Parts: sequence; structure tokens; C-alpha cells
Amino acid sequence: MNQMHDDRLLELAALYALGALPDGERVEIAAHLPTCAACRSEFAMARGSATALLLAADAPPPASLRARALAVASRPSNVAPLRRRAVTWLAAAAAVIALVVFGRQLIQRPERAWSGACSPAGACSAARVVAVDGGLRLDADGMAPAPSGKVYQAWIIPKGGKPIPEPVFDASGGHATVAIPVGAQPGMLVAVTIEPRGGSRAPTTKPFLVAKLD
Amino acid sequence: MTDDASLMQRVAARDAVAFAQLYDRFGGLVYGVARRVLDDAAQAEDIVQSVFTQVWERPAMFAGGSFGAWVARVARNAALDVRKSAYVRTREPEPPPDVAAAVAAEDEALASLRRAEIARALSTLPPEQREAIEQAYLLGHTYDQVAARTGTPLGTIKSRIRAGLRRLHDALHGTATA
Repeated sequence: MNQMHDDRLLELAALYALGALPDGERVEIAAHLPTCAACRSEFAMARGSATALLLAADAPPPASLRARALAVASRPSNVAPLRRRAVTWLAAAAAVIALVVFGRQLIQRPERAWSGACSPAGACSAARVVAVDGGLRLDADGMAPAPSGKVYQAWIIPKGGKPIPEPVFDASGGHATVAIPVGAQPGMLVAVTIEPRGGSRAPTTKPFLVAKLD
Repeated sequence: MTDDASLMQRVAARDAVAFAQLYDRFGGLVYGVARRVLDDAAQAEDIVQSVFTQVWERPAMFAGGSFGAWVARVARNAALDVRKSAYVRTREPEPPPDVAAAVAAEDEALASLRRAEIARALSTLPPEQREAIEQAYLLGHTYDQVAARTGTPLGTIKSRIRAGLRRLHDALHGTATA
């Protein structure tokens, strides 16, 4: 390996650790890392520096936020029991581990995707769920920004189970994308509702977007 | 086991007091990271509520190591999901298996530093290096997007980001051993 080639790969390893590579180079360095100790060391160096950047951002939150952030621990549980949630997360963690171990093969494997239905028809114009990086990504078009004081919230509904809260998000330019850190399972539903800002532990409105995974 | 990890064990056992202690230690970190990514106080507060709700409801998400480093990355990813809802954000990859131990060691070393020491190390970066790193990592842009936004050649941006990360790393190590 000549010096110029070496430097190019070390740069890619550092940028990869930040998540700052376009697709082609990301795949290239992900395949190269297992074969090159110098690039792995560069990855760890870059990740550490990036984390330092986050740690330096510490800032005093407004005092009123404390009660809001802690409220979840004082509410009676009205959602699925912990044991089943843990199983769901183990499945997601297992999918992530599979990605790390078999990253190259997974990246090259064609994506699995499912289309979603919008109801009422004007709520969104097109939606699909894609299996990616061991989790799911929901893409929706034709969505208005969430109403004032509200957000969109994604839900995973396991087959025969209760809705599990997933990230809140908003639409911009009519489009929304949200990453859901759960592995695809047959019969699982991905749904979206309108919720109060901050999100809910259980849906408070009827889903306007539903995709069924097979 | 660190204090933070034992707090998380108590959170997993539904201990609301431990949960409050965890917020008092890390609420400012989650809030500060979300503010840096989103530049919007109300949205940052939403992220804090969302992250701590996830910590309470899914404690198994935390797989050990430095809680501060972990929750800071969770906050960054959650804030970028909001910021970049118009298009797919670039995901920070999981460290490959051979690198995980080295990344965990970096996290532990950082966790032992005071915030002021990290801030001092950060202040040694030339402004253009810091800006390029922040645009990539805090705003979620790929390096070619950073190059376009700053009107800088691609090769310059790549080497600038890497040089800045290396310089910060060296400054942190200097701080750690001083």
C-alpha cells in the first residue's frame, strides 16, 4: 500500500466514524476496516474526539424540564409489560449485532420494503417502510407539518401486541423520514399518529398511516 | 461497576430515585447536545423528555460502558432525526467488532475528564477545523455536503476534518496525562 493510498483510507476511516461518508465510500471503508489495524485505530481515535465534542456541549437545562423528563417514572404503566419489551429490544440488539458481524453482506443485500396506507387519503400521499441497518426506516410524502403544539409519533405494533412508542418527528417540505430501531418481524405493524408535543406512551389518536410487514 | 452503571441497574429495577439522580447528572448533557444540533430550545426540551422516557422504558438499550458517552450519542441521533426529517441522516456506524474495545476505552478516558478540560482541548482547534467537524458531526452532513456549504475543495475538507479530530485527540491526551 503506498502512502497516498494509505492516507486516503485513514481519512475515510475517520470520516466513517463520524457518519460523514456518502454511500459508496462508506461501503468501501466498512469492507476495508476488518483487514487494516491502522484504519481501525483511526476510527477509534475519531470516535473519541467526536464524543468529546458532545461532552463539551453540556448546558444547564431549564428547571421546569426536570419534572417533565421524570414524569414517565411516576405514571402508572398502561403499556406492554417490561418482559415483552425487553424481548423486543433483544431482537433489535441482535439485529444490530448481526449487522456489525455481517455488515458487508447486509449492505450488499437488497433492501426489504413494504408500502404503507394513508387514511384519510389526504393525510399522506405515499409511505413505505424499509429494513435498513438492522432496524426500520419510515419514509412518507405528502405530509403537512404537524399541527401547532403537536408532533407525529411512530409506533410499532407487534402481532397480537399493544403499540410500543417510537420516535416523534415532524414533516418538512411535505416529506418525513424516521429511523425506528426495531428489527422487522412478520405481521408487525408500523403506524403513525398525531400526539401532543413530547409524544405519548400509548396512542391518543387513530393512526393515519399504517404499514404491515410480512 | 461505575456509579452510573449501577444507577442504570436500579432504573431497570424501576427505581424512580435512581432515575432522578441520572437526570441530575446527565440532563444537562442531553439538553446541551440537543441544543447544539437543533438550535431550538423548545425542540431540545422535547428531545430531553423523549430520551429520558426511552431510558426509563427501555433500560436494556444501554449495554454498559460509559453512560455519559452513550446517552450523548443517543441525544445526538435523536436530535438529528428531528433536524433531518427532510432526508435520511447519515448514521453513525456501530464500531466494528475489533474496534469496540478501543472505542470503549476512549469513552472511559473521556468520562474521567472534567468538562473544563474537554473545553480547553476543544479551544486548541483552529476555527476552520472545528467548524468542519461540527458541520459533519453535529449537523449530520456528509463531507461532500460540508465542502459544498463552505465552498471548500473536497480534499481540503477531508484532511481538515481528520486533522482536527487528531489534534483534539492529542490535546485530550495531553490534558489526561497532565
